[in-house]
Amino acid sequence: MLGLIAFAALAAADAGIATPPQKSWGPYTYDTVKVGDGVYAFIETMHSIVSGNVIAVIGTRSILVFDTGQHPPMAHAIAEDIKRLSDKPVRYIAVSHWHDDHWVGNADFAAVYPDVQVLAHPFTAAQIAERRATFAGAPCKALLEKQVKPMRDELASGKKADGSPVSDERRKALAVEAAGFDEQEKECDQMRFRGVDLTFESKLAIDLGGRTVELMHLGRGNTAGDIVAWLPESKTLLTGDLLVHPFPFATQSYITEWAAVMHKLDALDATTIVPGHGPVMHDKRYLEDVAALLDALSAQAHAAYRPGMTADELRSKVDFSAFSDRFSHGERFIKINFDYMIGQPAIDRLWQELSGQWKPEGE
Amino acid sequence: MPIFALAAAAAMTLAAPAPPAPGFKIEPLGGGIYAAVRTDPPGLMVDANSLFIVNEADVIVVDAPEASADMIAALRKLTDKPVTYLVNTHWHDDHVIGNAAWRAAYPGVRIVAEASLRAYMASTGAANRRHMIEGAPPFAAQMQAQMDQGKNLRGEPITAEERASYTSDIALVRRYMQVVPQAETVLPDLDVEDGIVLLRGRRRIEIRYLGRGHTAADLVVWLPMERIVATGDLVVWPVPLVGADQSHVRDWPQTLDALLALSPAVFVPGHGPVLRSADYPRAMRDLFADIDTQVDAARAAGAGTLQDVRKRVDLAAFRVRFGGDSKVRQFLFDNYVAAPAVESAWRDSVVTDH
Repeated sequence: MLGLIAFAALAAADAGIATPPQKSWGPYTYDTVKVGDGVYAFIETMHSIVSGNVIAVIGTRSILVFDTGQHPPMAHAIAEDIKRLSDKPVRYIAVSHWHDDHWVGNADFAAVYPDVQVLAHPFTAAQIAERRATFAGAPCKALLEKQVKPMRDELASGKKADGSPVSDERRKALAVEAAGFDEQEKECDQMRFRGVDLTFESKLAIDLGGRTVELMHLGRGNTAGDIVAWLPESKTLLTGDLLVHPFPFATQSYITEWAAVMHKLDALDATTIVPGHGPVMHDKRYLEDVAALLDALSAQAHAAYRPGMTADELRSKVDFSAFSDRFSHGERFIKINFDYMIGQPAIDRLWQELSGQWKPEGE
Repeated sequence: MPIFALAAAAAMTLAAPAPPAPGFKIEPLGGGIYAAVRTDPPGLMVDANSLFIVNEADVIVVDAPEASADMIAALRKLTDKPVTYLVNTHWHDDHVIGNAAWRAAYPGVRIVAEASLRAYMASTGAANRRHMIEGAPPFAAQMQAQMDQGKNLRGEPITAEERASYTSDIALVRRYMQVVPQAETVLPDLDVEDGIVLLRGRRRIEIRYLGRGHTAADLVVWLPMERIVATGDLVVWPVPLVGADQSHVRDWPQTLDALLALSPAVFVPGHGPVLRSADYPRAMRDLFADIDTQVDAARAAGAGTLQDVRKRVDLAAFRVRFGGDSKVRQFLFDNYVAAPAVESAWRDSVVTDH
């Protein structure tokens, strides 16, 4: 998600908006949040929405970790933290979906806990296997370089691509973002591959000793292979990127099916929810907001779509301004992101759905 | 574990000596895959086969029979790699009782079973075990008495084949009583529904639920690259094992169809030798499909009770097909197929009416 966040940060700088407190890159820091008895979330603080949340569920015999994050040093540090929390081994990693910021840390956990098994939906397993050759090392750096080059060009020339001068605000934002890419490039050399060992199609229940974790795939949503973890005894739900705060990540999603999945999650009546990114929640309000948003987007698009319509024509007929206000609470940084995410990729995916022209994820 | 159809009569102490050998052989199937196959002659009392799948860094084991301690020793001669998963193909003791032994030998092992196994182990499984612990010693004593008197269980002069079979039964009861009463019940770590796939380099190990059959919790382990399947008791040789109230003869044919649709080259049955053709599983499928058809026809013709249905079901041809001219196998067919399978099909057909 790095490129996207950089885009948002620069857009915010252009608009003269102070961005959230995330102004220095690496070494990464994170908060350790006790979610409930034996459940801990490790939430990155600096760029809190770049790396997925890491959650440990601790039983009397073994531990399950739900997602391992983007940054090798951070994953390693969290694995060591878990050692201090419990003398039981991490024997399961469940990967919520295939986006790098949720599984790159697998290898670092495996270095600390060699007996660990990585669990995922088959789609996720296949996507991760395809990423093997390109997620780290030179291809990783090349991709980052491609994303950062326009920023470096602007910093060097003092001019934007259209020739207009770069403001001081923008220059500061550019410098921070470019430095962030430098940190990321260093990490490309630290990344090691650890793919998936076990797949399941719909449901797998794991007894950790005194604690059950139900892993479930409830349909296509944010990706075609999302899984959630449900802890029935404590009514705790770990959502992966089916739920992201403060705005949904909807890059290559299946909006209509995602809405259906959100209603299934709603029906679980969770009392504690840990999203894929963002803070721990103790009620379902935000989950229901996202479900309502996806319902509305899908309904409007279905009503407006006519065969032959382009994605931009469809875009002009979908009005999500009320949701934009509701999600952003007057914070323009959130609003810019929300409007981009929903207005661009989410509508594109609805158009793909309605025109029957799905683009494969990852392209 | 056998499903005893016999009521034990005499209460005598066990006189038979302990079995000298572990009672199984290791049969390499290629690619680091080994079947641990029972060598007992066919009989009323059985222990289960097992399968060892040795991968690059770990081992997957299918089923945890009463002979698990000896099987662990056999596996250790083959490899020092750790066992990471143990699959219980269903909840009968001869497939789960060794869970504790495998866990003790390999503390990291994850035990995998179909999701309903957990509840069965505590209810029907516990009751089965109680009945076996109470009933097996007098049963063995009765067999010994039959041999002493030179008569088979039907009171006819005993044959050499029957003598070998009874001797094996008695030894297996002894083994059962040595292992089972004091064994700790170890429940699964992973409860699967439709199945899971273990990815091991190029090898895929598919642990699949194909439908009800021998029980409602049957899993098979399918290796698509090697075309090997471990069937659990969905396939048992020389005659199927049917439990009147635990099997589902009405679903069994389509579950076997799903198994046959994989087109395995090698079947490792729950009991019996490794099968390198689909003929026997197909015969089982035909047998159960025919029983279902006959039970339906009997009910349609007005047979209202199980007893009435039994009178109208004719399994003579299948008895020849599975039993041949072996008195032991014919007896097994009568006890483990004809009686319970008709009841199972009848039960499920009555349930379907409601």
